Amino acid sequence: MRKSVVFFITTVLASLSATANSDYLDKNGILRNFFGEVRLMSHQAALVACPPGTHLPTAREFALKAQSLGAKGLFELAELKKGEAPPPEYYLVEAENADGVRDTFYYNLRGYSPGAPPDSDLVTHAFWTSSFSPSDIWDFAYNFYGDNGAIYFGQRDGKYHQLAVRCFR
Amino acid sequence: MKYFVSLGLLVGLSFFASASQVDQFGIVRNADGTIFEMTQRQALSACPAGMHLPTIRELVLEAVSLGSWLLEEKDVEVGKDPFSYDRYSVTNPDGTTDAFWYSFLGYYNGRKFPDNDLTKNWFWSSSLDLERPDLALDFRGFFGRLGYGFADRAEELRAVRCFADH
Repeated sequence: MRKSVVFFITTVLASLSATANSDYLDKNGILRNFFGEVRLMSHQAALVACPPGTHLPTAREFALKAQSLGAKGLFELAELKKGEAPPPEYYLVEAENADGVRDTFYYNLRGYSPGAPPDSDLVTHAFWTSSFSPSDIWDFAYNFYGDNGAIYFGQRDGKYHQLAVRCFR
Repeated sequence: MKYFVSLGLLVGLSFFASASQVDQFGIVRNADGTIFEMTQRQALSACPAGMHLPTIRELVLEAVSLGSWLLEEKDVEVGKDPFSYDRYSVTNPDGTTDAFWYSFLGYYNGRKFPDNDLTKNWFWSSSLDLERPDLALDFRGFFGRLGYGFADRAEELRAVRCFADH
């Protein structure tokens, strides 16, 4: 009898603890905690936060997502004729992905329209990408800003910078 | 006097003995394996026989093979500076002059960026700026940028790569 009570209590405690640690992805792929709040974390944590079958998107993947939501999006270096400037309003994104491959492109957020209600967490949060910003001095990674579609870099250290995570399939 | 000459010879010999080691990248290393950083003036004579300190064009051509962009002077219309390029005009140790436009923009784009001593260091070239011959050009491995440094100042030390003679 006593054994079965101990077993029951242990099982309940284990399941409660598992539930408390069980982050989940909402329908938009945003990582939330047990209470439904958007999880904010450092870049180091974000790199390993997405569950199996999903991944933290690169800067390019976010740029393509923004492009699908109306942004002018990407302009490849290969499209530039030697010595010519990119079209107006494009800025340079110099990313290095987690596999070490450098991925440099021009990007224009003009036209971005997330189409979600203004209070949506898709719009009100900035998200980590898995792309680093190469620097021989600073430890930076690229972020995607849900409100205006911008891709900028920020410090990876969670002491200074805690951002949301959106996992892509 | 005799002792000073001997001491000088010993110091000179030990300098060349320690500077004459080059690794698989052609980087000059100390006897203990650390990278030998020196002034550009010293770098001019640091490479072993059969090798030489590359000109800035030689370093640029290697960067171009890794994605950087080069425009020859003849291909650029006067007064129309090409976007993202900087112009460099230099003199080389053989007395020739050279001018070109260079952009590091495509450096390693689409490629895996290697984490090695080639990409972590700044390397002297043998070229001097045409207008300011006290300044030598260097190549900066992390971004593929070119820069300048005083050729003969003890506080301006860079690594050295030796290229095989043609």
